[in-house]
Amino acid sequence: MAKFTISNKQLFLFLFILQTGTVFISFQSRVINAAEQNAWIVFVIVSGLHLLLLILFDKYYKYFKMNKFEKWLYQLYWYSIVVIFLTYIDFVLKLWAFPLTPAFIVISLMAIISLYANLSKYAVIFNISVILIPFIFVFFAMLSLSTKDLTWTNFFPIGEIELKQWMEGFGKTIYAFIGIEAYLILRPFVQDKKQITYRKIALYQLIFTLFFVITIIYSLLFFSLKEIQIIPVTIMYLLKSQEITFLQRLDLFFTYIWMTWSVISITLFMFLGLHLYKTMYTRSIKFTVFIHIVVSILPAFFITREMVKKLHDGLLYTHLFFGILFPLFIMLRGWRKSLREKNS
Amino acid sequence: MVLYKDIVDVIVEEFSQTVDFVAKELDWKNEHVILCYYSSMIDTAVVMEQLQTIQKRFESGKAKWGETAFTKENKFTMKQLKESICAGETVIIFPSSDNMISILLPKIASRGPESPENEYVVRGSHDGFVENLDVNINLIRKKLRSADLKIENRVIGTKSNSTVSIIYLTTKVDTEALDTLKERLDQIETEMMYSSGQLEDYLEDSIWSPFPQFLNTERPDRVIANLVEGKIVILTDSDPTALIGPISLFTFYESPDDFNGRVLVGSFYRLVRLASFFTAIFLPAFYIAVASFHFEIMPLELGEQVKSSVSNIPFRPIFEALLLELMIELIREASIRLPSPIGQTIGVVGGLVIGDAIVSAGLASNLMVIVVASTALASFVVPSVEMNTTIRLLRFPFMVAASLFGFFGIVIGSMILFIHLLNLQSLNQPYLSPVIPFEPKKIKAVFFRLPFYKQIPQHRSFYFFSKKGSKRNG
Repeated sequence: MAKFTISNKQLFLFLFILQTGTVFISFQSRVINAAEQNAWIVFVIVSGLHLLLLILFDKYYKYFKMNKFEKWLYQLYWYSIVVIFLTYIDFVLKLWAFPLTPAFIVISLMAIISLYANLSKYAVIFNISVILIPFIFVFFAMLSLSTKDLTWTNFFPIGEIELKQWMEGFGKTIYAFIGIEAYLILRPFVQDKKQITYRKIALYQLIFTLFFVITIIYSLLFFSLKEIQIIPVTIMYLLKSQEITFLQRLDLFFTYIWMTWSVISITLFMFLGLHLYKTMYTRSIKFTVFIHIVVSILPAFFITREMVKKLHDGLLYTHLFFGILFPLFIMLRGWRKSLREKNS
Repeated sequence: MVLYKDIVDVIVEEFSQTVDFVAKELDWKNEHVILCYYSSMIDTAVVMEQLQTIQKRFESGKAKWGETAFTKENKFTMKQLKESICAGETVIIFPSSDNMISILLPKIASRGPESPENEYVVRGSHDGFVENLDVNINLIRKKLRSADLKIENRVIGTKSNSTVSIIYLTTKVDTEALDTLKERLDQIETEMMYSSGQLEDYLEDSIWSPFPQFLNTERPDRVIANLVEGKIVILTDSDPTALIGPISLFTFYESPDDFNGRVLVGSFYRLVRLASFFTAIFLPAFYIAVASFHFEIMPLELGEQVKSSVSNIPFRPIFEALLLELMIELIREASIRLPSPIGQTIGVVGGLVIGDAIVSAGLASNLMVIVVASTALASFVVPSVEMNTTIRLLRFPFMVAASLFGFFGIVIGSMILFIHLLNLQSLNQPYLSPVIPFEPKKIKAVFFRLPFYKQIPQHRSFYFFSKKGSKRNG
């Protein structure tokens, strides 16, 4: 069993990078296409529901005890996410940065980063995200350059969509919450158990929501709804249209920030899987190397536009299961078991 | 008499019949004694004076006549005799009582405490350590007149018997780091201890890391500033270099000049130095990536200039950069090995004449010369020779990565470097402290020279400390 402790700041930073990672440039157009001007409202509502989920997780995380089969199931889920994300990253990099470089080289190099971090001590995993903190501010500074070009009337009308569109919007929004179950895995390792209060969870969720809502609003105000229908990654195109004195292509610069962000997010997902593996088996180095080889080979089979879309759509449903339903079921089972033990 | 001659012969044999070893019989009231010393390591007049003092004390019948401020009485053993003689002591052996008296006044060659040439400061103390442990400790004690200052010695090297001193302030030192250091010192098994560099190899947490895990300095003021911060100083008897640990990456960017100058000036140059870390490592790689892959990232006018300057060169930018970097390294090595007036000439000839000739011959572009020269300047800004060489070395893999994959290569390389730095420790303490683990209160002292010298103990581990003092790690 792994022995480490983390602070509440490390937990929330881990969760933030894990959840934002690869998805933060790709989901805006999906949500806006589904819920139009109400996309940000949809996001705020879903975010509120996830806040409740986090509070629930925090209250009952002690009952989240998985058996061996469930641990393998979760590992499979996280390794699949890594494969899908690697596929997507390579797809985007092929479009924006280097179309000629073979996929396996790009993916292998990214997998090597994850391998190196996961073979290092635990402190590396929990501190690696710190490198991204300045990039968060750089990202918003870049985004703010487009403020002068925003069309504020794109904001309206609000509320004029049908129930079906609302529901579709909710579905697409869930994409931004992939990885929330990591809270249950890491919460027991927070040293001072009382340190995490509901207020802190709410603050985390507020920062998380603001991060995404700002990107949705900028996308919504910069492009018309018709433009967004044909632009899959609005943030990239938005930055492509900006210029500063010493940098012609902000988007290209941002691509590498996003790539760093994504690679770290992948590293964290791999850590979650390997952590569960280590709770079952003591010898883990060979498996760590093996699983990294596997996840760097698999994406080569999926790098087409259609496949990327299909995999992404599939993720929504698996998230509903592994991020919400399954954890609730395990916690309920654990709670009932502890109740029985108490009574007997 | 035959007995004494036999003993003398045995002793001379034990000391390899070396010409500078002296062992002779001496009359001592009613008996004979044997006097032993290395003639090359004693001052005869001083030793004779001490000898007379002991004889007088003996004749006056004092109780402990053999023990004075400069003499020590021991049981005679061959091992003890060898240790004392090799340390430059003069030994009087009393065969009848199996005792020996050592006169602890070796003559050790030493130069004066001049300003160290590799750590020059504009303002402040110009003292520097020398190759004599006592002088070095004297220089520290002169400036740090505190009873808390503790010095512990270890003898390392079965043949060299070198003395290594561990120096720290008892009230400030981090005991965990001290225990780690002592443990590592005690584990050293070697015949010879040549230098502080060799000692560093034994003490470092990660020997294969390009980053130094001890701060090397020849400046007593730098040593004292670090002692006050709770760090541990290691001095050897053969080297003017002091090793300081545990340190963080940012320790290498602090200079005594920061604290001797104005607050704003000190802060500004600290920031310049820290920025130079990134310039020295990434600038050539960045240029190669732009020239080879990413013209479009630059404004149109600048992009055109880069394009036109590169198009006239027969090599790829990586070869151009490697050629110039190699030239700079050669100039640097040549100027170090030569006496300083010639060294300066080499610098001028190398920098101006060869640089200009290379451009005229069309082997490298003007822009590349600017990039390589700026990089060299940035690397020389670091006030530590070890860190300077480290960052000079690091830019080569980044250049290769940039030439293969452009910015992607730089990003991958940076992440590997970052993970390596996260893994790195100095005496089991985090190398990136106080940035990681993040300590907001201490971080400003990293980037700015604060209005007063605030002594903050370095972070001990990957733990965060809460207000109440409980610790949490990651």
